[in-house]
Amino acid sequence: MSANSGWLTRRYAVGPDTAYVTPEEDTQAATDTAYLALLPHGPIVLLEGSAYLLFWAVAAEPDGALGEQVLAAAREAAAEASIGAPELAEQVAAFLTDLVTRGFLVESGRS
Amino acid sequence: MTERPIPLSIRVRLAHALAQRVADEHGVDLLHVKGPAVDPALRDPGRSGTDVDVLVRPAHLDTFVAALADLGWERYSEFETGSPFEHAANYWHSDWGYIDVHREFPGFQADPQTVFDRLWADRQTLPIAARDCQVPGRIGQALVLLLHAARDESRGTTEVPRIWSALDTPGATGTDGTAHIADTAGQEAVRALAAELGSTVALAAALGELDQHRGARDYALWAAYSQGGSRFDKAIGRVKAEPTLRGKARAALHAVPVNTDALAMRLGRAPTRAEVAQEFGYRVWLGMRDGSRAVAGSVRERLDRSDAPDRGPRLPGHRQSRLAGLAGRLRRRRDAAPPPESGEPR
Repeated sequence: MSANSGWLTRRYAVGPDTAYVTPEEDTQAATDTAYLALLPHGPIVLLEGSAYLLFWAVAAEPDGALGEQVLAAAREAAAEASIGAPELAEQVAAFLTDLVTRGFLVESGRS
Repeated sequence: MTERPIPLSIRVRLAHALAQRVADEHGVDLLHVKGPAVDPALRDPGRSGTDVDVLVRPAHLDTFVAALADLGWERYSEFETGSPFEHAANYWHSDWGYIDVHREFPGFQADPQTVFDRLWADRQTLPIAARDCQVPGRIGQALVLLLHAARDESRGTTEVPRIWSALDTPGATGTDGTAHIADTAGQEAVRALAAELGSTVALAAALGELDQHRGARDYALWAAYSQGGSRFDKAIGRVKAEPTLRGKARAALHAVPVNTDALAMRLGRAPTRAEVAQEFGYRVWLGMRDGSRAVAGSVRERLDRSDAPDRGPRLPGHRQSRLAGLAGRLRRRRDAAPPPESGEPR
């Protein structure tokens, strides 16, 4: 584990002010999409494809998911894609950090 | 993350979540009604709703609408001008769409506080857009839907039978996961709740049982709304339904209201007095036209009845003989008049 891999042991959960709709709730949402809204000011954003899958890896767990669990989901989803493990981890970490910065996710635990 | 038009039904769900978030933050009690807030067994699968409907505890109303305004929501219509029932104000936000803020619900004669307390007492939690939202219990939901259907003739044939039969579908589960009431207990519970909250006549209108309530004060109102009556019929019904003289006067004044808020939105600015007056005149003219048709139809019907006693129930006693006399005089005058000259319309 490299020096900046602390995110793998941190827990990520959907933020208290995040509302979201997925195809499981509303069939008007296309497959593999999630609409996220930050309450009460917005914005409303759309996650598609791999972004949806990573978000869902977090949202599907009532208590949130560890970074390494999200990375495992990403590896499974990217199994047939030609992307190296370090690059994949970097992209997953950047994605989670971005959602935390925007307020859609919260993080906790060791770093 | 990408930007793309948001499907309407998804925007409605997100706005439900927003309304609950605002309520939670400001200590406001509200109940989500209709659309995604409805038990799936009662919901019309082909209808997703175009706006958010919330019923707010009357004492919390000012707090809630002030909070919406602080968040940039624009008032699209006022309570007083939004509809003849003056039951809801409509708010609009370019990102989230519309929220209909109800201070009461047409069809309940019990006071709004009593209605809210009763529905609130049986509330359930339903997640909408991953936010726990407060909704009426299943029986309350069904009653609200049926009263809504009573105001719309088109819903009576499809929506009402579906809701009514779904109430007694055994083996299904409610929004809270509990088993539905079996057999006919669901329908009976809706009738009992309607009786408790003074909505028996409106419910009867939805169920096609209105004839059993011909003597009720609000019979004409629900006959007009559930059977596609004219604006005039509806206005007369609203006046008749009011229990006090003051209420009747107010209902008469609001019989042909101008939605000044919608007019302002249409114009893109606040309407001038002249524009409101012009709009009012247009509305009055529409109402009058409906009214003159209704009056003419009514007189014609009564004249016909006086002439042909076998065609239906006759007016009682002195009213019937007075109309019969009028009919006779009109006929004699018509028969005595010289034939029209050629080309003159008769």
